[in-house]
Amino acid sequence: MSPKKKQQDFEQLYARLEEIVSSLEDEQLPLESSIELFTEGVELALEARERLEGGEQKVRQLIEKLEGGFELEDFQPDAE
Amino acid sequence: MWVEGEISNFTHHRSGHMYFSLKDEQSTLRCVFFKQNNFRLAFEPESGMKVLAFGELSVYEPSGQYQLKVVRLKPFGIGELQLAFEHLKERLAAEGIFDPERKRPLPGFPATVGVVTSATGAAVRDIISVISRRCPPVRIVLCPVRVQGDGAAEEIARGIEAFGRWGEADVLIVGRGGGSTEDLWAFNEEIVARAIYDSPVPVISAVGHETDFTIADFVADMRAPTPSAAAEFAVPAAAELTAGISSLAGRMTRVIRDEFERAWQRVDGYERGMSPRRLAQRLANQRNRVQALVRMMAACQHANLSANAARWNGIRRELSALNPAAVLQRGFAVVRNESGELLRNTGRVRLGELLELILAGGKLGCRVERIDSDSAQLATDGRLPDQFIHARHRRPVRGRSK
Repeated sequence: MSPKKKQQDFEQLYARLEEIVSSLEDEQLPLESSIELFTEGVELALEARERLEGGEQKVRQLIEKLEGGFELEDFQPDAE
Repeated sequence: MWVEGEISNFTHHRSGHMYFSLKDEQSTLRCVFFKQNNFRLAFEPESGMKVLAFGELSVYEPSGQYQLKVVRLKPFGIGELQLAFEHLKERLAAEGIFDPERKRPLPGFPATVGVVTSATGAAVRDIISVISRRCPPVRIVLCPVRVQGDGAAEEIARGIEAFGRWGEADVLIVGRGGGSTEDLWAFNEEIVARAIYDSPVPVISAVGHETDFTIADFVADMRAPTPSAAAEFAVPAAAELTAGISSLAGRMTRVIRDEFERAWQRVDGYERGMSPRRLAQRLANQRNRVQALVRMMAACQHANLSANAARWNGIRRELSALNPAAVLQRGFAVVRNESGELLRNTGRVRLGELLELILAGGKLGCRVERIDSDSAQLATDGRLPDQFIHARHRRPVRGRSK
């Protein structure tokens, strides 16, 4: 999955987590449904945390190729 | 010589030459401003404008009149650049380019931030440093451009367009660090304004310092006072989101603990009445699993997730195993005969025999009136059809049931 697709979903993921917590808190659900929601919630919370802990910052440089299209190169900010 | 006066009878001839008169209360002087001298003028002169003209006096031979051959023209009282700025701003405003209704919201969690600025200034370092600190998972992609001097405006505009065509940036920061009005001028050029306006990606402008306003700032979807501030607007604070997730996880955990305790109390009812050891054991297992999950949740509220993820997967597999309380909740029943054996089929059931049915909310004593050994009547959703069990109530349900 491209980083774009993956990260764009972060907001949806977070919104779903909020929705699960409100359902658990506000609705009288059978225990089974609660456990299902809770399990989904744990999964989302872990996933969200993993994404936020993502790797080291990478800075890239956008290069437009002569023949069309783009490529990225590493960028060294202090290369003056 | 410098001549001060008010422009009258201004004409900008098709040839590119400008003709006008300079007047004061007492006198008039004819002026000619040739194309080769006027093409770099940052403002459009008009009648009524007060100006300073620099040039040399000559005679227009056909009429014998003196005239000033102008080589430089400056607005009087207001800076030339300032005037150009006001004119362009007025023109673009009339076109609706600054309309607040067309400003787009910034993404809440961008994957990629595109930056159009110089590769060497303080601006790019500030932006990288703020984003790295605030939200490390965000990818920064720079399109390095010259931000001042000849051709800078065109490069900035091309950078913005390139990000638009590339399509992977979720938000753009366009700007530079502080400098003189002349240094910042590229961001007042129409070509930059139009590139920002046409950008499919929302743009944050970040030009100079707090007090500097450029045309780019008016067109951008958001104006940041400095490049560092732009970086803050562009990405959320990962620490805040992490805290938000921890708080949500804590709330989930409290709810599930409470609910499980209530369910456990209901199960205690069966245990006291019937001692079906196996059911109690399963529920105990289930409680252990939920407790493990709760511990997992607590771990999730702290750092070092990757170590816990594998453990969590194990717990999840366990959880999906049979969950007796849940099965009863779905409408199934546990059936036992009088000697306490669990029944899995009709094989050993006799007509007239007394059976005990354990339901989610209590239990029933039932006498068998009919035996169909075919189980095809089970509804497809896994629920037992109502007519499947013909039960006669034998005695009131014992034990606690809610």
